Amino acid sequence: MYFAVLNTINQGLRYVLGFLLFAMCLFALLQVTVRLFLNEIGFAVAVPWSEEVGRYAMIWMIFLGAAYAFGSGQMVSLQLLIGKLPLRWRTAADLVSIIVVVGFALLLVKVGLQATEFGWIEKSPVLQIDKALVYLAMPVSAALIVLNAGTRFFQAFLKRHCADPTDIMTPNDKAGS
Amino acid sequence: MIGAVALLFVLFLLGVPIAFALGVAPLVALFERNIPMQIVPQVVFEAFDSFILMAIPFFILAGRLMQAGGVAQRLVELAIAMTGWMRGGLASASVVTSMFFATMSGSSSATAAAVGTGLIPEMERSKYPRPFAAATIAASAELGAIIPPSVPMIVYAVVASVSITDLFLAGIAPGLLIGFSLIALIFLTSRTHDYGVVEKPPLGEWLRGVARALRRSWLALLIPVIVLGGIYGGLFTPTEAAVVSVLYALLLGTVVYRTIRIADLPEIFASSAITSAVVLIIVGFAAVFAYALSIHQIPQTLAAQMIALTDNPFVFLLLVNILLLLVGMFIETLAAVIIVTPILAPIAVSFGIDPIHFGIVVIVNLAIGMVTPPVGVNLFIVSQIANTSIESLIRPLMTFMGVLIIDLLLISYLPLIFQTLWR
Repeated sequence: MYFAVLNTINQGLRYVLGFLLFAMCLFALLQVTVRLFLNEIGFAVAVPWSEEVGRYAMIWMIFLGAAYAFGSGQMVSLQLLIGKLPLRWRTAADLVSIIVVVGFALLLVKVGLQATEFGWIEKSPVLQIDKALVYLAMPVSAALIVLNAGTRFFQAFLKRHCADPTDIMTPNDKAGS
Repeated sequence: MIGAVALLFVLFLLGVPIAFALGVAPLVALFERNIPMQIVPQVVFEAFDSFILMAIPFFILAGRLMQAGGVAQRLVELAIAMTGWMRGGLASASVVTSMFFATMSGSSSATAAAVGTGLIPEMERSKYPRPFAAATIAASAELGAIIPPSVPMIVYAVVASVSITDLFLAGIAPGLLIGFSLIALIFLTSRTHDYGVVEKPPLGEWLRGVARALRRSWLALLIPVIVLGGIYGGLFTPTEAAVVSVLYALLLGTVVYRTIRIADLPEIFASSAITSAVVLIIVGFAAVFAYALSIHQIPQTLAAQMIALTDNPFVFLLLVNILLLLVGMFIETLAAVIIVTPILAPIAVSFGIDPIHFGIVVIVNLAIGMVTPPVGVNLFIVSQIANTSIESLIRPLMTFMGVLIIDLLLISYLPLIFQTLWR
């Protein structure tokens, strides 16, 4: 039940993430178009809000994407030492690592919610959006990380029984570097 | 603060994701100074609230669209048509293809994957040993991070607050130097080891082949003109250029080449968003680490100690290069850029080194780290494509490494030598 619900959330996240990136593209393109073409033919319009909304879409994309990536094991981490350890020790290291992440995520939920609370009285410079709607990305993401950590915890125990230890050593998705 | 740095390394070794390790470790240092934890969201959001950073997801998306849209494949066809008949021609063509693809995508692993998939099997067919072919791709793909646009450069520019456009511009000459020195090495090696089949086609047939490949690829060749020309012509900011190249690659893939179906798009956008988030979340939490370093005045202290040790910028750059080569062997490039820049860039300035030049040294050096075992993204990718072990790549890689390190020394010192001469 827990895993089924979480799986649905994570699948839904993929669509949300793709959509956020799509929205960022639209806002940035709108800005280029307006600046290069409309201003050229005499329409003195500016769309400073497109940049602002684009940035806020990116902030949500980063936080939700990080939560998703943690759940699917795509975060960049150093596997150098861990990969060489015997399975029993690797499980132990995995568990310690998950506990560290959960502790940190819980702290982020707490301070993130505090920031959100202050955010209700802070408005964005152009569109006058409540900044709380932006700051909310951090506690939401951290809460998702805690939930996903449950799955990772379970997997860490499963790994002790899996036949081929190399399948958990695949290099992370590092296409960004 | 020493405790925080020690904790950081322990967390790295335990396999804690680098982003979280960078967020957890400085908490100790903040605690030492009685700074409330509420500073964490403040620092992170300040780091993310940047239009410049948006260039990173756009370049990642554009690179993926070009890969899915067959842009890389067409460039490879062109390179084969032009140089397939020369001894060592195909291998040097892979360097040229990497250089071209690097002007379109901001990352070296994307370059390795895009160029290697087409060219490694092709090189094997022309009797290059498989490890040599894979090593060629791994070494030349590092140009993805050096020839603009470049995601690591954007990150450096954001962290060190220097101009991205200047940094991009400064990356062109080193990129050409590295590209041509690799080609020279390949010609020499192919000649001495007799790699590559030499089968000269009649001139007319060759011309027809090149013309056909050019017809198939000329629209792709326009991408660097639009992106780089747009940035240097003052038409676009780097972020705008990135999103324009997304639009161009999207139209090329869906309308012109028709290799991307609309149904593929949600997946391409989603996976690009996730890759971007993985990169950018590191930037955010690294800002917390950098904040802790700055309130403990670590860069200033280290700079003072460095200057007490030596006041010679040549010696300083040598020490930095050795340090970074070691760091690059073990830590993933972007993470390394983010960790070392806030510490080293201020010290470099106090030695009178131009921050743009120093940025290039850092990027070129850490790009070599992508090709060195045990942790080298390019090696992982090419060994997967070529279906060989990383160990078998090490021998052919050694000569490439030698050339890359000579290039690095030239790039580090030539500007300094000119500077001293002109004074």
